[in-house]
Amino acid sequence: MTKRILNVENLETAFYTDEGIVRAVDNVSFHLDEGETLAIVGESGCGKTVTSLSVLRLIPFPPGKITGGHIYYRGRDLLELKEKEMRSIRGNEISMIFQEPMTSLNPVFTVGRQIMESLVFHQNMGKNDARRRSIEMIKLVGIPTPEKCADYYPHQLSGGMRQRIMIAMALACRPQILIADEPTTALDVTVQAQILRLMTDLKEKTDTSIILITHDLGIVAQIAERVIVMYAGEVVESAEVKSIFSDPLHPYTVGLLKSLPKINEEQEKLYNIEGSVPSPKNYPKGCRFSPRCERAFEKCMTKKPGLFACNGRHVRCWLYERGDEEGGGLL
Amino acid sequence: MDSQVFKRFIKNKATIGGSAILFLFLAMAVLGPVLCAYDPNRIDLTSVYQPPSAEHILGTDNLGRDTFSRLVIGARISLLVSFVGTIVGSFLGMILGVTAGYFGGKIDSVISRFVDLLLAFPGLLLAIVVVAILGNGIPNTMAAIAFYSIPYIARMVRGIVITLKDSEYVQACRVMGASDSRIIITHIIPNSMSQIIVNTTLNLGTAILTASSLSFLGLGVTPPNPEWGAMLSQGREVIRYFPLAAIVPGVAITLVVMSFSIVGDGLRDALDPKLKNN
Amino acid sequence: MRKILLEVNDLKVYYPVKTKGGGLFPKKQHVKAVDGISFAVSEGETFGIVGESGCGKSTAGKAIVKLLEPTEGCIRFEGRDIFKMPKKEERDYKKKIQMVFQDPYSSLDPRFTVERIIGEPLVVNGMTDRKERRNIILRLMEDVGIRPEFLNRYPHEFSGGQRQRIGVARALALHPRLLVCDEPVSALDVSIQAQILNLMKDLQQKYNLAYIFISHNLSVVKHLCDRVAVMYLGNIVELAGKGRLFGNPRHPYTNALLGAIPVPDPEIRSLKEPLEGDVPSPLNPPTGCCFHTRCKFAEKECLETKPLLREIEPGHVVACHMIK
Repeated sequence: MTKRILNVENLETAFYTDEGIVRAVDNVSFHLDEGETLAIVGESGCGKTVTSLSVLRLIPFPPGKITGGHIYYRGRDLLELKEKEMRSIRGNEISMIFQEPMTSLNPVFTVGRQIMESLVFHQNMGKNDARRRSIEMIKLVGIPTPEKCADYYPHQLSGGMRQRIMIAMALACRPQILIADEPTTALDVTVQAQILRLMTDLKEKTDTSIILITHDLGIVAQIAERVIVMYAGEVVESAEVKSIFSDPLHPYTVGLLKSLPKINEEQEKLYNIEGSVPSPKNYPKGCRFSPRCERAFEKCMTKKPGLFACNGRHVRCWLYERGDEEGGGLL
Repeated sequence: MDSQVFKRFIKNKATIGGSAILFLFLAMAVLGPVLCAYDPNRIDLTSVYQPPSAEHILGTDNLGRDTFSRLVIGARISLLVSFVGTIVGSFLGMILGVTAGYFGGKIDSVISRFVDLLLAFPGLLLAIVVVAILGNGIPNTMAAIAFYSIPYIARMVRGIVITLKDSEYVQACRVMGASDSRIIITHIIPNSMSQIIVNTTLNLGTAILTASSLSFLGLGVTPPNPEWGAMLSQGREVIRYFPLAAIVPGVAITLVVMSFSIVGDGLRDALDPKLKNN
Repeated sequence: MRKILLEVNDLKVYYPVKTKGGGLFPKKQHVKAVDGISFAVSEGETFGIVGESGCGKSTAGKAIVKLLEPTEGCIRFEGRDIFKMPKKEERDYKKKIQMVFQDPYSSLDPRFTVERIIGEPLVVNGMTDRKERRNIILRLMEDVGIRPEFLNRYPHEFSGGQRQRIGVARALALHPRLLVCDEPVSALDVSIQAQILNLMKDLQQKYNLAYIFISHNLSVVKHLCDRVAVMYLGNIVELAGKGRLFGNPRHPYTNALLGAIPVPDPEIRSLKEPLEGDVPSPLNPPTGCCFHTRCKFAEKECLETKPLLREIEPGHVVACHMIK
């Protein structure tokens, strides 16, 4: 039986701006098992990045604030920890890699030193041990001359190399959970393929659980095991990766998959979801997808659907009401 | 869009305070003679160094002239000199900056070296040099102040223009066959305007200070014209016996300079809210 | 056979750069952004250029719309060299060729209303009558699916997709024959991307437009284009009709690119053998075949001589020594 290491319950994160309150993440629940790769997909502004930053409590305050919910990591609620305790978890037990590696690396230190730093800080390693370990890590992420590379400054490395270093840094303390926020969006396709390959290989070697945040359904299909689809700050569907692609339930997921141009099929015209994502300051009443939904009926416009269970999956749509509602509880 | 800028502008309490003070001085300058009960240059040796009273609400100076009247008329001169000087300077600076930034190459090198040369002098020294060459008087003080603000604006505008000229909307305009002058007038200048306005406002404060410093040194506006710097200079001589003569113009200068600075900051925050968040 | 609209012949664009380390007198070097490419685009056709960042695809596009001067080579539009045109002819050329940009946020002047943005090409080209202009603008807005009541709105009031529609409307204002589209959908979300791609297809049929579609996204290129050129380090390495290029890719780089696409189907395991290494710097491109540093089939010949484009099937050209 796999162990559950992260359990997010009814997470709510809001931003207090001059123009009003933006509920970026609204009643989001999900869990992560040991050694599992979970993908959070959605379009820009759906709240996927804010969700991941909330897990690490990295939401900038002000204007952002986690306004509700629980994040249980190995039984402890991260939202109740003191900042100091949180710091010992961040980068140590849960670490994160970002979209743009250049801005997350410090340009004035060598990459080797940057990897060492977290080892010295979190694991109380001596300098020599830390250096040995960081060279090991650089080797692990597939850089051919690790000793030399450790003495490079970030600007001396290419985009793909920097992302490898970021991964080495994130994995240095052998974290339980790695959150990867659009790790390959800034990279070229061939380099992206290298990094994705590296991530799948490393997961097998290190048994780290991964939360992968992306907008690219191709990446999801290739490396995730379970998927959460987010729309307008809410989870609209969650399922095993195979069932999401073979039998999507929520009309938004269906539309998203149909609107992809596919390399291995001939399509005359792409399906498109009409309209655009609603502004978080002004969500529609009822189901948030209803104004763009082809299958919407009267109830959708007036009443907000809960998360219904349906064949071991969950979907936030009135079409699947016959299942048992769990009201956004455990997934 | 502009109503939003205004909303953001009036949201900040300090900016409102600054604007109110500026408005007060501006009103004083505009109404000028209406407010004064006395000719600011009327000498009355029977009542020198009078403390504030019902007749002279801010007292009188060494020649018995009414300090309040001199302050009011002085506001006219100080504000006029710095407004005209700064605006002319900003305009010239903008032309230099746009030319350098947009056309680049040799033109840019020449203009940039010239601007560097101006920046190499301390501002006040530059103003003194200009006045020394052109001579005293109100128009020449304006010229000195204009010279003083040219390099700052030119350098800032050049930087903005360099980023703007590579923006995609400027490229799009070029693809449709627009001339350089059209691109500069319709896209480049309007999009750098907010920054120019902010910096001009901030420069206004310094300009007042420069104008006052010049007359304090006896170089700017010539006596008996009531200029704040000159008043301060006269007051300084008797500061031990009659501090009021120095305090009144000193406070006026401080208030106006501070207000320009506050309003300039407020304008920047209102026009470009992104800058504030960073 | 359709009429050829645009012909690019041995186009080279080099940028001079000052390199560090030259001391007081830095050596002048050249970035060979585009290093001798040739292709032709016919009327009403969609020609795709794909490649990774730095391969020169955008530079090529900019040279075609005359945003850049080429170092060598020529571009002919309807038989005339666009870099040797008299002023008046150049104005005509600029009406017939327009560009759609990548970033829907920076390609529209934030201080212009929709009416001014779409009307700008008309004003620039001398249409002074306001009423006449407004009619054209309203028709263009209908064409791209922007509601007429948005005429006086500013760009920041629109979403990315709507802004890109406005950008397309502006490009169409002068009735161009050819649109150069530089990554027009890569800044957009998937659902919006499909809207814009469909719009572009519809407009092409309606106005018999030719497109040069520059993108790094092979799936999008495949969906939209008739013929596709694959670029690597300033060179075209393979050029073929869509069916052949995607059905029977011959150049090892094309194969690697196709293999690197994460297929949105968990039953198909793509990404089996990713290409190793990075793209070399265009400051110091490899000798011989530009791809040999990453090519697993490379032999001695590839290191020494640069392969030329050869036609291996009608309409299918490849630059590779190993294909006999």
